[in-house]
Amino acid sequence: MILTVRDLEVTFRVGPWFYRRPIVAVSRVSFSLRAGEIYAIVGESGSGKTTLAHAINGLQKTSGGEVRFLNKKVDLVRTHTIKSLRRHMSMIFQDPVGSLSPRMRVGDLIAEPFIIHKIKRDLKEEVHRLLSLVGLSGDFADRYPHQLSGGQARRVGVARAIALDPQLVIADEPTAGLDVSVQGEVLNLLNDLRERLGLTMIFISHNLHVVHHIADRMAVMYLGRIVETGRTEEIFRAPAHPYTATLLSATPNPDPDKVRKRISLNSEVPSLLNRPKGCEFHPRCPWVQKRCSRETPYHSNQGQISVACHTPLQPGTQPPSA
Amino acid sequence: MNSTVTTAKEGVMTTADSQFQLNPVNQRRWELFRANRRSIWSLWIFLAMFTLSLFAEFIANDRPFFVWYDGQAYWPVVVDYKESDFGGPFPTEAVYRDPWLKLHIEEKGFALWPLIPYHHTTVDWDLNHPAPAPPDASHWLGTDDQARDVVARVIYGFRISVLFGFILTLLSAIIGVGAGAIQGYFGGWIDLLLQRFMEVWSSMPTLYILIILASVVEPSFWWLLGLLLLFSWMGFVGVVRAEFLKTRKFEYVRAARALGVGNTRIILRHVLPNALVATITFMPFTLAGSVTVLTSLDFLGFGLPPGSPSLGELLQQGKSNLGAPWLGITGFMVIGIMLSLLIFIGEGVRDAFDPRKLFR
Repeated sequence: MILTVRDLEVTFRVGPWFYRRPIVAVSRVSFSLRAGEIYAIVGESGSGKTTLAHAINGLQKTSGGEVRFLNKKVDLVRTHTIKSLRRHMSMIFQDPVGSLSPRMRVGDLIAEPFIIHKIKRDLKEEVHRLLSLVGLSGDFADRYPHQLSGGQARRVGVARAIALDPQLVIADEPTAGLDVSVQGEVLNLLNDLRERLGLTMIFISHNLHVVHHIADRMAVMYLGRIVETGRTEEIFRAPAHPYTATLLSATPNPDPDKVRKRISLNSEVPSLLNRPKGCEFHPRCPWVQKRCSRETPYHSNQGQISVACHTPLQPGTQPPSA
Repeated sequence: MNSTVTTAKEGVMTTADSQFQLNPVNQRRWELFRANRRSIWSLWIFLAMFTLSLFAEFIANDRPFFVWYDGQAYWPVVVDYKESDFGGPFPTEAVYRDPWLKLHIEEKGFALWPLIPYHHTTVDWDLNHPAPAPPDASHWLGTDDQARDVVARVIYGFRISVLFGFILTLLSAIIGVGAGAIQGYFGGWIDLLLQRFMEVWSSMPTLYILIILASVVEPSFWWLLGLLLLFSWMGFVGVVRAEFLKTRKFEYVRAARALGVGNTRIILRHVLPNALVATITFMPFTLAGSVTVLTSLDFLGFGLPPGSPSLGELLQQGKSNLGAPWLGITGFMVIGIMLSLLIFIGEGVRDAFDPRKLFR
């Protein structure tokens, strides 16, 4: 196992000092990752995906649980450990242009990992090698981020992330903010790099098509918890959690002949400050039962899928007509 | 590191000069600055005046800069000679304005005098008028009440004011930017404490404290610089702190941290360049402010040690010798022109760095 996340919890405190309330953004998240695997994390905006990614990298203080990467604990307090961990774990951030320092040239940006980790190489050569690996010509080394298009900036971000042959790449919505054709290019690039370099990746997205295309396994997050996790094909074939089923039914399908029944949800996403009791999805769930509002469901196995639901959906279940 | 990556590129036309070329943004800034005729003229005039004043010893001095005596060359501005070197009776320092020595040198060679044959300390004993003497052919702007040439004092005074301003601005910028960067980047308690400290510190009546301190220590150039520095650095903190508070949450800072970049490097390489624009925009105005403070201290008599060429002291003399208007008028004109030039340059810099104009 390259990465093991156990009972991870991230809590923010909001409000003025006399009325400070905790917000649990990530709650009891556990999963592990084998080498060469692409693990996708999907969920709505605000479901804690990005916070989870930051917590794994040590960018975010955790309030419980632990992250073990290469058998070492990711620990914010010990700066030298975390620096050595980050040598092997890199991140791709949501905003392609915004994650590149505006006053540094592309060449300097890509060379930076080598400099800070004191890896003696011919920097000029490395920069060119990495640029060509992500499909950019060497001229780009002299450019500033604002002179790049979104897709080019994303490629630079990828080049930076794979510069030191990391054991793990955390890609936080790498296709966000790009138009569809560029999204495709970036996904092909990632797929290609994965085959060539054997990348292990955590892939965060809210785009289910993309996840289907790239991920081996996936997890679905709702209000900071993983509600369902398993092999991607299994989940796409027969989602076991009602929330997953809803997400899948909401994905636009390019085939006009295929009629799909949309599952509509009852209400808005509840506030993290006011989590529902019992199963947190129950106020919105079309299949809701009495015990859902009282008992918190724990993860159980349904075939190859692990799901947190009292009455997991069986393959082929139709939503109750409301 | 910059050079290893950017210059060494084969087959690219910009190879050789890419290191020395301004990047496109700075090129555009320079164009914008040049397009502002008032600013660019002010810059050239100021630079010319400043460069000339740096060589004040060769322009206004009480010794010739070259003496040819008895088949030998002498450089009195650079080297101190004894009177005995020119055939005088005593091995004391040569006084070239002494009529006897003048004549003596003329006999066996010649002396090349600066344009204004007075140093700022030179007292002219041969005045036809009681000091302060009005302007005439030998003293273009007259003399002050101690019979010293006003032109010479103005040249040296300009130099010392500008140098003082430059050094003070530079040191304030370094301390202020450092403090602002630390406050903004780390935030939290550090920010809170430093901010409160600055509120207390900045509410001190600066001028009174300086006057009190000036009565305790004999104020020299460096003492004054240190005393003024105690308060002037705070001007830079605000802008830099704001920039850092804003930028530290940006994704590229997170991205750098996720790569394992340390705080120092993030501050210096990733965040500081953004804050520098605000700092540079600020600097010409701080420079003008520093010059003004020095002048006002000199005017009040708490500034540079007595005898120093200072514009404030000239103004003070103008005030106490109302019958000699050339003193007051000269002081006013020099200070007025100098500050106007600095402000014009500052305006040009400010506009050139304005992002709204930059990308139009």
